[in-house]
Amino acid sequence: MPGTITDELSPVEQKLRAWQPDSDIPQWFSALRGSARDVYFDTVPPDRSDEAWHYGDPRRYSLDGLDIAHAQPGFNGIRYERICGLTGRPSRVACLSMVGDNVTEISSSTPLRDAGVVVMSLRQALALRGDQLQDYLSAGLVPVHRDKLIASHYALTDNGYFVHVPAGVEAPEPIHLIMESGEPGSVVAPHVVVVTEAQSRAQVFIHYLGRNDDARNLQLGVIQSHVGDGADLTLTKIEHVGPLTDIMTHEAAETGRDGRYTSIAVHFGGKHIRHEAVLNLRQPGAEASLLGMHLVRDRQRYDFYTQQNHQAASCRSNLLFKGAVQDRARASYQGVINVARQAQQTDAYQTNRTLVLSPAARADSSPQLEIEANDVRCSHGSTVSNVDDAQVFYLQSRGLSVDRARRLIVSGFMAEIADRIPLATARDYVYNYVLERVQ
Amino acid sequence: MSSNAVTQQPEVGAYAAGWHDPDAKYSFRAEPGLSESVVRQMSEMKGEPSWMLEFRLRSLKHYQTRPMPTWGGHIDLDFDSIYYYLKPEADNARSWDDVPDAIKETFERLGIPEAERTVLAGVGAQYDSETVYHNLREEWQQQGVVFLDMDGGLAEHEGLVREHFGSVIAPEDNKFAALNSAVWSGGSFVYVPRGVQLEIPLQAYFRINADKAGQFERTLIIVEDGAFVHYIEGCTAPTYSSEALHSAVVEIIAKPGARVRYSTVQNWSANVYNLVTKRAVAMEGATVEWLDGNIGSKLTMKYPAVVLAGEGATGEVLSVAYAKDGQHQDTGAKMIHVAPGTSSRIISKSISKGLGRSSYRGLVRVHSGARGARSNVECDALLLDEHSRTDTYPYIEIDEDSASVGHEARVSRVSEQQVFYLMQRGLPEEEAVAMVVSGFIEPITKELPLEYAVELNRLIELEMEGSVG
Amino acid sequence: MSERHFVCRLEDLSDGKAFPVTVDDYEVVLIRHGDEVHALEDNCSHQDFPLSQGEVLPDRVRCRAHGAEFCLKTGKALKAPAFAAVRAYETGVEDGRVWVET
Repeated sequence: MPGTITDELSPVEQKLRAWQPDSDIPQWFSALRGSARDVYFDTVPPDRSDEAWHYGDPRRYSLDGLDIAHAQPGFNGIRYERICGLTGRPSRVACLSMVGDNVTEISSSTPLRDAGVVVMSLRQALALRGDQLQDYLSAGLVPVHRDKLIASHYALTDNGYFVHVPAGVEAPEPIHLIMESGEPGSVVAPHVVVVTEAQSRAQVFIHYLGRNDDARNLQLGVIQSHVGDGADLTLTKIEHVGPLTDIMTHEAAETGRDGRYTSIAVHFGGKHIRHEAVLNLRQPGAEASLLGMHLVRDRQRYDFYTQQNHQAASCRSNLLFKGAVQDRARASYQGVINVARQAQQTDAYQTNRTLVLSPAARADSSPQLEIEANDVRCSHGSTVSNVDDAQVFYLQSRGLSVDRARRLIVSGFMAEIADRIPLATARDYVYNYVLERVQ
Repeated sequence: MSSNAVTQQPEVGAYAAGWHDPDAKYSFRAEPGLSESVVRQMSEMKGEPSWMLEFRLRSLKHYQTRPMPTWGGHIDLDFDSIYYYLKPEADNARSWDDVPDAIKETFERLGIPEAERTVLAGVGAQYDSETVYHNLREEWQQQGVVFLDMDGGLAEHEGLVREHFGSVIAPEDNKFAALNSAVWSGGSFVYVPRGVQLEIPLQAYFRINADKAGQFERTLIIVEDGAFVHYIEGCTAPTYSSEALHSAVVEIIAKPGARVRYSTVQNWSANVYNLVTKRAVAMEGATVEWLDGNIGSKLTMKYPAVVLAGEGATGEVLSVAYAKDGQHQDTGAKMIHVAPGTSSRIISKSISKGLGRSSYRGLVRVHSGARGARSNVECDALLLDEHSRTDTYPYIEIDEDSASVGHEARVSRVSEQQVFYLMQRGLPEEEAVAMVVSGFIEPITKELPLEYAVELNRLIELEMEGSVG
Repeated sequence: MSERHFVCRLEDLSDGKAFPVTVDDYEVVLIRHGDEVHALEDNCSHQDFPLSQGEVLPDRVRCRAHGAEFCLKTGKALKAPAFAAVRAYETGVEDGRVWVET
């Protein structure tokens, strides 16, 4: 019946209301979930007056009509070979997979273990590393009160991943974490904590995989990264879930003195995807890059929101976000570079380039600056256009069809980001997909 | 406030409009605050047609229910204590002795003629520009050009006004457009017939018997096919206003092939909230250019806009903003591409000094069907001191695959190298900084009428004094 | 390739009211006047606000956000601050059922 609105609680909301702390998990974690549950029911969804939601539709990430995920490992039928295709060198890779609220170990890496690198599910970490986790979760890097959606994540989360690289250790192998879509009609809220202690180094991948869905399912994830003094962390996320999966991921990172942080986000799948990336440069000398690319098609919607918060002097941050929209898809970028008074000698940049490939596609872009220190170099640029006709014509004159020419051009356009992915097999996957799918 | 039947003769000079009506039904004691009776009184005193009263009342209703904006500058005004139409006599009593020394010095340094100083400082009677104005008026009359204050425009060209008033900026557009729509008074009405090219710019200054600096000015400019006009308002010299709230509305209709350039430089005193809505509709092949200079006021919120509604229309905004201690310039531009073959350009240069804050806020929106739209935006911000602040809030919304849109913004400080180089040529440091700043805004000042450009540069020199060391 | 989608029954739509529906993943607002049904893009061209929350008039719909108005038949912008049209969908009633073509 058109126009009716229901006020009934969805199955998952009913469970939230009835939820009682579980004696198996630490009391502090239960308290966190309980207070998040209260915030959730006391808050209305954000609207346009919240600048972070100028673009983007909060209704897409609501808990309406959903229930808690129950799927078991193997549910998605994602074959081991496919994972290897992405991760390479199957026998030596550390790889965990999460489906529903269950985490299984697909493969483990002896060199990593020997180096003292910890890779485990969040539940395991709550049991074995409770105190450490409590420090990270209570530090407020991603506050529960931020908005109703973050509150819904904390209220529901009971598993995810914990990665810890001890001081001075260079992780000898990359770490692969897989997020699989839940069953139709389900919601899952994975929480990921990645810690690289002082002078350590690591490469972490998060792969979002799914299959063709029968009905909507939702992921509300949070990833928090802590980069110690002089540490170096690269976090690559590649998302290619089924066409009815909605995902909202909030990613926050804080860097120590001279820390290096690189975040790469590639988005291909899903229905409504929102990715929030917040960078807190709290100590001097840090260098950070936020890189993103997407190719959205059909009726997909992708929103990317970022913050580059320069709170200390002499830090450098660079955001580069490139994407292409076709068919009836819509993508938006909104982000802010905040330079505090004390953050002199800041170098900060934002670049957003979008290709609009079809008449019904739409792109929105709002790169923003709020600068309170004057000895800085800050700039941003944003362009939106179709593929350059002159370039197409040139390739045609070399014997390529229009289609092939456009695909090559778009693929070349994305190369600036794809080339930064620190794993050949993952890079190939990204290139092949773009070459195949661009109109 | 009750309306007793007692009528009084107002003293001429006590009321800005110089109105006099011995048969008034209302007692015209000035009252603060805004209410339906104030609006009815105003409309009656002006002798307006009933449709304008209805327009005002509808706007008032909307103003009263519309919430304040949640973005932009901080507005700290007691709206209930503002006089929206009639002002009490006492408020106008201000003598030359009351004018701050700093302002008197500026007049001296800028070489402002004696006679003008009193007007700018808000202490004198209208400057008599009657003679200069008279000759121009004859020429305009011959060409069929209409240039009146808005009240006069409504009285003498009701049909034209009714057709276009509120057609570009509806009262519901934003809270302050609603306010202006309810209590507007003064401003200009300009009509330029088909094909007429006005070589001499029209200046707000030339309107006789009207508020030179009204609180709620309403301007409507209609330019017919193929015509050209350049309209100028404001001035670079510091202008005192006793009114804390200035909320103007400017609507421009540029018919096919018309070209309109609207130049503004404001240097309001530091007590003024300057909240302005300015928008033009450009039809086929028409061009509208906004030149916007913001130097004064406590807070200015102003985003000149062009709706590119006809095929091949072009729009341009050149904007300069200067903010020092206690000032917030929140300015920018909007370009809305609706028809095919349109192009737009926005150039914004801002300077922040001391604790001043200047923000660029802009929109480029390309609707589906605006084939081949081209748009380019450049924002440059110069921060002079350690704690000066600048913000950039651009919004780019593209719904057309054949459009090509680019936006760039840069923030920097005055280059030490450049200053050093100039000092090597013998310039004192302050002058060197002033020269760098002038060079920074040169792309815009070169488009301003010469006297404005000269005054603006002199003003910058003054401002840079004491800014170094 | 346009497709006809049957959305609801005519009797489900109250006269003179606006109803939001999703048709083939498009957000559409249905407005009924007597036996006639109009279907417009449920999104004001001014600042992306649902027209279904607006006021329905005999020949037009007024957006609640800033008072923009659109022609029910053609989607053309009739009043500032809207200047760009919204999409108007072909729509009709067959055997008491309302269809919208996308």
